[in-house]
Amino acid sequence: MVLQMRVTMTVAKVLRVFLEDPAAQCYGLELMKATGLPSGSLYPVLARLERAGWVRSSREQIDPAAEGRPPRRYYELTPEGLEKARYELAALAEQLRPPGHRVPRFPQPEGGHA
Amino acid sequence: MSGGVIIGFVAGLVGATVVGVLTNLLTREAEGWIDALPSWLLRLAGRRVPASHRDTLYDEWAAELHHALHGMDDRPLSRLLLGLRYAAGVLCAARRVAKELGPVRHSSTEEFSDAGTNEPVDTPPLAGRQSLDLGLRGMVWSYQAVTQKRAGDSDCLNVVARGPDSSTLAVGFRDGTVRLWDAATGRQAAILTRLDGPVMSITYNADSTALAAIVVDHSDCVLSDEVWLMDAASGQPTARLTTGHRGAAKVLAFSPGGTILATSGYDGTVRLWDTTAHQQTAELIGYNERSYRQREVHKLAYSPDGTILATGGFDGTVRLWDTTAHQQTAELTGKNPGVEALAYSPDGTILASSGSRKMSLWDPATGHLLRDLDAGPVNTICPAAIRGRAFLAAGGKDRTIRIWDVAALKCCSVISVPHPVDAMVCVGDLLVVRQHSGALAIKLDPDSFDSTETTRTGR
Repeated sequence: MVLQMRVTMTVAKVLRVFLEDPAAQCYGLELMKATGLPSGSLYPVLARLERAGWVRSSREQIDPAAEGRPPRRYYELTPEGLEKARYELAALAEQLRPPGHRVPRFPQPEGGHA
Repeated sequence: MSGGVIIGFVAGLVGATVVGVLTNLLTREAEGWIDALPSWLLRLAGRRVPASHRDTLYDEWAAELHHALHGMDDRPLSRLLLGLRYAAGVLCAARRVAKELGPVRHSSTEEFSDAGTNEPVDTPPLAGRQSLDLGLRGMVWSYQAVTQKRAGDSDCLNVVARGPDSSTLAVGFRDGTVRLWDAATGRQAAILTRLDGPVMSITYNADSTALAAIVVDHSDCVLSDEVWLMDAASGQPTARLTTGHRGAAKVLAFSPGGTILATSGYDGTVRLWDTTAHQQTAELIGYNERSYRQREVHKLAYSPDGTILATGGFDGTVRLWDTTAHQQTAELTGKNPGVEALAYSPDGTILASSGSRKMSLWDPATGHLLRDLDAGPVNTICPAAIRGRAFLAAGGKDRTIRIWDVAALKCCSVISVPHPVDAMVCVGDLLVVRQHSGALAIKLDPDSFDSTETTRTGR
């Protein structure tokens, strides 16, 4: 997907929760609790991630009458999203890392073989 | 005197009852309002988004609100505050959500997941799910991971590779397992191995004795540049190559000779590995854009004779490399902002590249652009050789697979599938399509292509 995804702090918080268990599916309220973001910030981020193909959503498969509640919409990382999210978060972490801490094997933007 | 007391007593009693009833009614009225207010705000938010998204968004919000307020029956004020805070946020953000989603919600999956069944994870896929009528002509089987919170996490399918013969697929799952499937039926034959994390990329070598895989490491918060090599028969890992791709390894390709593995990643270098000695033999250097995000290489494709390695990446160019001299021989600039898919035709005469706008067909010998095709946003291209004829199957985010006749440079069939296409492999005349945590297989029949072509083009 060529669509550029700007990973802001808000986006990063959401991705962080997804990455804790890449196979898990989360619904909005759960993400709100985990990230501390209000509904007004979270839903636009989810929509943007969904459009960029990083996450996808599907409606829960339950019988509302039997469960006594309406079906939720679950979000999960796509394989592409999983890869990109890890990459972007690692890049962000590198930018924000206090000086003096080095982590091996992380990409250096400059130098080397470029 | 006593009559007055009795009247006073009765009046007091009636008055107290009336007040009690009124208070009760008022409380219930207030509670009704407390419950109605957030829902009412949500309905208002629904009004603010285009009709195409209204129902799905409103349903989602209403379900979340219901869940948020669940179990707070005896705390009406907290309920009101929480409900209002949630609903007000949604109300403010509604238009932005709709704008971010764009005109069509591509990954929305209502029609498919509603029909899904809840089979246990390790049962052979799809006797039950095959009965799903997707309205697809030629569909042989389909597999769909079950959307169910945390219960179905291991049945999410990430990648598919063509196996040693025309009857096996290697399938990489998000739970780290690599499984072998019978390509003809979509049934699981064996669990080959279990790796450390979600399998992101998997490929067989030419004689199918070895498998290479890229795995996301669950535990590690730095990105992994390692590539796993496995024995294809036993699934035993034979080596873990530390590729040194800064920013993780991303794509893999075995040379048709089978002894060289090409890897690339976010750093724009392409490295060639000797798969018996597990040593790097060469590094192809050419992506030198200043911004290192621009260097990212998405796709690798060997020419069928193995003399040329084609690479495509974020910068939109296709580069051809001589695999013996390890030099870049050509740079093909197409009309796409980035190369999403890259494949040689089965006979090697055409190199197809695509992105969000056009599919370009190149003559790999001269580097000339043969044709730009309006093929929609193509994600993946897969060569197919069926009964002596060469085809390219191109699948995209628009849920469409187009089959191109290589000799005629013509689209000869259009197949609509339920989800955006992520990847495809062709096994014999079976096209295996990976999409939305699952896969399906479609039998390609060149005879029906021809009739389709006649009707489509009016030839």
